[in-house]
Amino acid sequence: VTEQTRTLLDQVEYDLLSQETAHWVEWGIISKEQAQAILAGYTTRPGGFSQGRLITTLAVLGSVLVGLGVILFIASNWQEIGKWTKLALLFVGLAITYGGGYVTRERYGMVRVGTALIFLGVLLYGAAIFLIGQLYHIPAGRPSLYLWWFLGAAPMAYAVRSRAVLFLAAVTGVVTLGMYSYSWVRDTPAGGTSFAAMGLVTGVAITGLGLAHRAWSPIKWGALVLQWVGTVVFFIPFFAFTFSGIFEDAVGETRAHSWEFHVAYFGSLAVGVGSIGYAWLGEQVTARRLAATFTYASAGLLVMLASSFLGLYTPIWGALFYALLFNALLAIAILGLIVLGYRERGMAFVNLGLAVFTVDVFGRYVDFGWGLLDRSIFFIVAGVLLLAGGFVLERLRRRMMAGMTAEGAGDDG
Amino acid sequence: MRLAFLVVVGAQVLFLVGFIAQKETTLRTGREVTLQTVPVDPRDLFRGDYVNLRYTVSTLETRGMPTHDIFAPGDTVYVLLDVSGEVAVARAVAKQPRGGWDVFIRGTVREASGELQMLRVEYGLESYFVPEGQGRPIERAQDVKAVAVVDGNGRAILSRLIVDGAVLDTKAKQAP
Repeated sequence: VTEQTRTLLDQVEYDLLSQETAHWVEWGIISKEQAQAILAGYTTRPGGFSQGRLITTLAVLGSVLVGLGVILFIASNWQEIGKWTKLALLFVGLAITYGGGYVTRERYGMVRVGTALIFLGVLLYGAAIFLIGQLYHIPAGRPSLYLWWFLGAAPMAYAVRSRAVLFLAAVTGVVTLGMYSYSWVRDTPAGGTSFAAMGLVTGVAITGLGLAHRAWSPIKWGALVLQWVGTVVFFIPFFAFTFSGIFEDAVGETRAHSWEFHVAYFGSLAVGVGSIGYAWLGEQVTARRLAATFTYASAGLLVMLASSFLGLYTPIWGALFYALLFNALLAIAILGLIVLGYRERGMAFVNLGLAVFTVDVFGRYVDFGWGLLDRSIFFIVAGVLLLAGGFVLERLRRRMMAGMTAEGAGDDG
Repeated sequence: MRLAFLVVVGAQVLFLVGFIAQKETTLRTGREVTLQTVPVDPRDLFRGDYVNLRYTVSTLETRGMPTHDIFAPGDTVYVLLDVSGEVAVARAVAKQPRGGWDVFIRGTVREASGELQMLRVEYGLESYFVPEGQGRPIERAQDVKAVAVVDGNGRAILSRLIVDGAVLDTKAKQAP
């Protein structure tokens, strides 16, 4: 077993596995050597900021800066360099970054820097698409340009097993689907709710794909990236649904969406449900706890949204009813995340729950306070609210962390 | 990793070359048509300043034109152009180009309203990218015409703009 083929576990999971194998040896189920062989197949996630991570962070940041520079250069549309020279420069850039990345990785064994160069190559590939779009005046806002970028980035992520490239692929994928969805719903009645509903199912689909990655060891490295992107994509439209304004033009409307919208919506839903189901059946402890959260929190609102925007069920209650319903659902989701994080000793869930809670409180304040209070008082109170909120949350977070550490120590002892 | 990496890089390069080749073929083999425009000036995140163009042929009233097709948003539409005058004028619309049509352009119906079948059509010619800061003068111009090149299948690419009677020169001094 090499370092690269070892399965990455959280410290808590690794400790649990160690305890279990010790019990199995004690009960005579396996030998001591077999227990050691099992444990050799796993490694723990580095707790601190290791040197390897620092190299990856620096190299990826460098690539992002160079890529941004190239994109900004293209956006400036400098005319002193001719069309063919610009295109040739980008192709040469692609050859240097991909070639350099490959050689650095494979010949010199510098995996982190080599992968960062390949990541830069994927950024340059996107830049090349936009340069061609600019040179031939392909209309702005065309989703197909982002689609082509996504289609180039996604297979590259798996070819080189890079989290940074997978993140780029996930973001371009979300932007592509978002732009297509917008073009499908922008001229339809109640388009806002349909667009946000698409965002919800997209978030569920990406989170589900992340869970499925976790359950299948060859692609396990990509699980966290997809889970986080999916979670963010899920919570943004979820939050949008807590405002009554989004429902105001939707109540009582008959929806008539194009077949493309339906295919994308139900396709995403199927991917989400299918991959969460796969992860569930894979009996991965982590997958199960995440799947449980998202399945229970999402199921109710997804069913309602799916049926309402399709016109199978026309909402007859007022916009405020739906806003209150989604506020209640969001509160349950926040509580669920914090409780889950506390039970599973995963600070990431607690942090996410508290972050969504903070945004929600501020959102409610803006929602109700903007029209009622004088603007200056509004800003002063908002500032005080944020400061006080920060203080309370920090205390709460510290207390929870202290509680978790104490419990962990108690368990170990 | 090696094979997968090479296949992906090869596919990316093939796509980019094919993309360029398709556009260049249209530019080199197509026919030029001049269209009357109405511009405004926004900005694209990745591609910089552009002039947003609407054409006189962007809005079509199909009644009175020789067609029996009924259009819905999202439909592909072919528009027969009369290029005998200073600017091209729409003469007929159909879901497929008809025999005997000489110069025609392909578009997508964005809106279709009423029995009159007023169509709002996009041709993929709605953005003209210009160097930073050069969009405003075009917006302020009295008369802007766009020269597009149309191939035998109706696919069109913007070639240049004619602003107040002169071809737009985007090579004016500017820094990136």
